[in-house]
Amino acid sequence: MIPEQGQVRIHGQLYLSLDVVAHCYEVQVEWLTRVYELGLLGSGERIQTAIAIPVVRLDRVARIIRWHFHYGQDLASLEPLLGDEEGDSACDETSGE
Amino acid sequence: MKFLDYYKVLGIERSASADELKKAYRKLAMKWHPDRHQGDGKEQAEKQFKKVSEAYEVLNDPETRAKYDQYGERWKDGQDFTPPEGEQTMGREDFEKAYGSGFSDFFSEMFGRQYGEHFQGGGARHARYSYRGADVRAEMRLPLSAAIEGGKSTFTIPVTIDCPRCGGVGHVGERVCPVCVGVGSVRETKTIDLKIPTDIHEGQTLRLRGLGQPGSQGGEPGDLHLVLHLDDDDTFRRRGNALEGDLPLAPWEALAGASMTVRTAQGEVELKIPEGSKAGARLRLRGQGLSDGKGHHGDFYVVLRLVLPDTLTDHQKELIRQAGKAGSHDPVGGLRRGGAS
Repeated sequence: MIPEQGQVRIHGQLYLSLDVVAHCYEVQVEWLTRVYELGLLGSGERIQTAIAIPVVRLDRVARIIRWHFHYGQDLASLEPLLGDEEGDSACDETSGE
Repeated sequence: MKFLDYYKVLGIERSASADELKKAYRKLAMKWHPDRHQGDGKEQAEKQFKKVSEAYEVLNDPETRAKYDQYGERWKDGQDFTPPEGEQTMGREDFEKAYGSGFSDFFSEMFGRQYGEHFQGGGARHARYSYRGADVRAEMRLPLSAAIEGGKSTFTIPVTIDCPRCGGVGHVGERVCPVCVGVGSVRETKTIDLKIPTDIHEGQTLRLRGLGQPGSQGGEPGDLHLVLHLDDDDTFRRRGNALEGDLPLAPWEALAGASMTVRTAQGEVELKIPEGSKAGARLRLRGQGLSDGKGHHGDFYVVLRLVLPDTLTDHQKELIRQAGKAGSHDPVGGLRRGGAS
């Protein structure tokens, strides 16, 4: 079970529950869970009823939130842009064009 | 606006597979994503990005892609839909002449209302490309006295603004913005001067235009929906739409009757205090209470409270004693045992 603080360490890597991540980024847990279930957050860990994702994936969460809420992109069209794992993104860098 | 051939926008054949579609979209979206462009080229990049995203959203969904393809065939049968090689767009005028409506209507009809709202905005938080800010709902509690008195009330609400550090893009150079942790927006408070409505009622919702979440990409901000709740205070108590207020009276005003001006929810009213009124008596002023929001008003009840002066002159004391001796009033009951000495 994930401790009350929503943190758990798995194989030396720190994970946060979706509840805690949603709270940090001020989004609804249901929405973030949907994002996770669409596979946009990569693989996570199910611990009883809770889902946890590694903290290294938080910048990916931020990117999804920004693109979805700020640029209005729907979640389905985000998937090809996010890369496969660990927040590797097509749009991490600015070109200055 | 021109009718776009989505296949051409993405540079793929009409027979392109889902994988080819995704690859083409990824390549072009990467190229034109607003996060990757700064300065003068940003606006042009955004336009291109919108086209690419719009094309992908339609063609990525097998159902909408099928309808898109099907409509093209119908157009070819009746309106010569397939443009000549190298000329696959048509002007808005031609488009509307052929179809009888605008671009957005075309897609609403073609793909259903949800699609239309998605692309036109429709006030939804995630409205695509309209970039209108989200509507915000907040609640405000007002003492009844302040609500009835009207005027202005100042309050603060939490709002979301573009991150001042990164300008809303979520990163500084190649690093995640340390202020907004990549989200592109931050929270702050905003002070609002609210003009209290004259005919206020419990649960009333005020729509304050432009005070919701900010729009992005030049879009207009959302609205603030402010729900008003009215709280009892030292002077007024609410009973549904009826109001109750205390009216302090000097004993001689209660005994001899009086006329005075009182403040109700509907304004100032002349009230006649009947002769011989008792403490705690309730006088009803019909229709002077709060609105129900549908054009009806509750009643206002004035509750009489007898208030003795803090100090009396010797002359006043003597007059009261004489009045007592001259009358036949002899209070009994309660804690009282025997006459006054």
